[in-house]
Amino acid sequence: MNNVNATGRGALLCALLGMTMMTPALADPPGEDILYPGGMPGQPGGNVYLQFDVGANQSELYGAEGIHGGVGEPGIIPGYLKSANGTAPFVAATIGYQFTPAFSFAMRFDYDMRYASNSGDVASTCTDYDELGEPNGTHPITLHDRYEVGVSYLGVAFLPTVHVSDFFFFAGPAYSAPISKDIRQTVSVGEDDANCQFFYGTNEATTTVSGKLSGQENINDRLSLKFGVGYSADLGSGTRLVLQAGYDLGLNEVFQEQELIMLGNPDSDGNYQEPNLIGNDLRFNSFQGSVGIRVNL
Amino acid sequence: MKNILKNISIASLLLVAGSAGAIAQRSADSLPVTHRPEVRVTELEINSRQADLFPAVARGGELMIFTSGRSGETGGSGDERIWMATAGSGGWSHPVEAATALGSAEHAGGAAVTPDGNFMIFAAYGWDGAEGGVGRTDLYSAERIGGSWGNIRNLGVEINSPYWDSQPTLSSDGRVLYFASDRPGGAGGADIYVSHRAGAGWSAPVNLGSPVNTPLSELTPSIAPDDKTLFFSSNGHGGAGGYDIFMASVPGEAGTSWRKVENIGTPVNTPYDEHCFLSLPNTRHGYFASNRNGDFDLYKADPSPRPADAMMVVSGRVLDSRSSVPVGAAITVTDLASGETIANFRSDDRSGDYYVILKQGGRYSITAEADGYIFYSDEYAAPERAEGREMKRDIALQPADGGATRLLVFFDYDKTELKRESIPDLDRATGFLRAHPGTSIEIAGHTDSVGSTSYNQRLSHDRAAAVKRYFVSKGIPETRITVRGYGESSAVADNGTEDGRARNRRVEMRVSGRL
Repeated sequence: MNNVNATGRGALLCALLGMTMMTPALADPPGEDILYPGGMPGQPGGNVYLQFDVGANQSELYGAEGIHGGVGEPGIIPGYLKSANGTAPFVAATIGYQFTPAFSFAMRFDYDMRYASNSGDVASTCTDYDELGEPNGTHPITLHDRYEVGVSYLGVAFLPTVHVSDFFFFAGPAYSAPISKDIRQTVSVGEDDANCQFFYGTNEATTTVSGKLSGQENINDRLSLKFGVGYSADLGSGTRLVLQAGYDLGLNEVFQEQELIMLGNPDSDGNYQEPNLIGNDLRFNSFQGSVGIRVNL
Repeated sequence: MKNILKNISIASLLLVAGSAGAIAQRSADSLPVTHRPEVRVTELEINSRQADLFPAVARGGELMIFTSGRSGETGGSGDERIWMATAGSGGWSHPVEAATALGSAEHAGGAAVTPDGNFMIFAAYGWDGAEGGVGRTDLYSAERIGGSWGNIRNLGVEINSPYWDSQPTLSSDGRVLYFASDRPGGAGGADIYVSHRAGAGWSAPVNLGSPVNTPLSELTPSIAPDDKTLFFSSNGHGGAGGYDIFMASVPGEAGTSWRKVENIGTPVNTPYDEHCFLSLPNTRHGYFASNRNGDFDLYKADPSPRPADAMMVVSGRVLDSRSSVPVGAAITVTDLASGETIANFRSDDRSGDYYVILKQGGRYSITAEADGYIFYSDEYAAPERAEGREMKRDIALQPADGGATRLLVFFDYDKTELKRESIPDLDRATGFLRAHPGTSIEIAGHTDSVGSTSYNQRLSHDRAAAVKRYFVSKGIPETRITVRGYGESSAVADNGTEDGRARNRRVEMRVSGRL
């Protein structure tokens, strides 16, 4: 998947989202009947509704083979590299049709941000140098490793919904086009050995190295299943307060392939950098909670 | 990125806080929902796969008029039309479309009918055939003539507005009209308004105000037969969810205000929408509409959460006294205490059937009038706290040229002065004499057998003479009127019973010839 294609899909989804937001202005005035005045919301059956939500993703990032390459002993994958979690917001606009009081179908467009981070201490070794600056051995040290992975998407989900009283249950597939990624890693030498430095003996010498990856490339389109439960309360005048809790189960990998992240002195010109690898078989799943307003048209 | 996250998080928290405040406010306005385990809800067999709602009944529940979106003679599936079904031993008959004259309307329904089923007010929208349309959905009246609905008229600017005016309901005497409207100036959403008969038209609608109307919507008003309870649906009083049915009681003067509002409770109300509660006279049950199973359907609630007080029902047929042919006659109900006309109905042109509901605690006259006939009046007493009573009494109208009718005139014991409650029928007779200037009449006085013959003869004569003096005072030439006292000689009933004696004490007006 190349960068241009991702940009095109994002633009398409943006256009769909925009059309959804404009629907109230474009829609014909709803028909009038004996029971309800024209334009009066509240018909629970056979009506179109719009819904706007803001919410938060409580995301879990899984990487059985490590979210990034090891910084400690080779061949050992510490637990903090196998999973991470974090919270990020999302906003959604939904257009739906209430076929009957018990069933509706919704098409939900969202700007969806995923974020996860974790950190851990790993055992490593530090090279010792003699007075002439030549290596003359090693000694064990502790490195503190922290990473953050953020990815944002524009998505669309197709959600058949079953209503029971004021509660409802939804489940359906979702497709998301990637917008951007923001990956950061910081590795620090433990405080107990502040003399051990990366790039020892150079003007880049430092006890902390960090790196960042951003941009649109190397992110897979996201396929997932959304399911959850909600509660809506009548606020009158055809509006309802909607509370939702759900789960978004990722069906494919987040990144297309491993990508190099270069770790260097954050305060220098970065002449000396250490390579690391990010993104091997990673999957983002999220618990999603939101609050929204639904308006019947 | 962290700043963006922070700002969105703050916005989310504000929205949640605002929503929680809105919920708290709604909870404060909500009325409690009582569960009534004794109420059984069953679906009516006349329901279709399309929406069925707005039940209205006439003739004591024998005739059901409702609104349905089923395919019919003039409308396709989903087009609201007015339908009728009749009750029989096997349940409801197959519904038929009531008014094909409304065929071109986009929607027509929500009919309110008088107890005799011969007059209705309904709502229509998008109707090419509507003359004098005022706004979007308007209210119209129609009369049942010769078995079909006709004489359809827009209620005009007195009632209708340029906005949505719909869902009429009529008091049992047909003189008070409640309806829903989203016209400006209300409490918010759609509100319920009331109007009263004013001559041939209606008074300016009055918003019922609080506590019935709220900033949200109040719909489908329905006044109970005893006029003591106003049922309506609302999403502004809280409840079980969606629109619930509520009942307002303790009416203010002329029904323009109601002091107490209660949720009708479950199982009638559900988290879905309930509308159109109909309380029936002299029965335990009521009808309503709900979309609990999809589209709106009609349901029966037995017993009704609030049955109406028992009423006195008088029905029968109006017939030609000579040929027994049914006559379509104007039926007037008069409160004898006040002398005021309290209801106007019609007997069915084809069957002659009439149907009148009388509230308890009053004395009434029911009068039938038709062109070419002498009017006929009879007296009915509906005592307080009496059980619902149904009386069947046919009315035989006599021809204007040569017939006779009993005048409802009243005297104190052994007196010849006309009592005040005699005035309505005397004025009616005066009107008849003015309308038939070529006729002469005999006023005949009669007594029961109590007392001596000579005394009764003199008393009957003097009472007939009092009636003549009234006519003369109203400008009827003395020469057209003769007076005769028959005493106890022309009994029409058994003088051995109180009821028989009461029927024998009478004054009759007989058309004796043409001048």
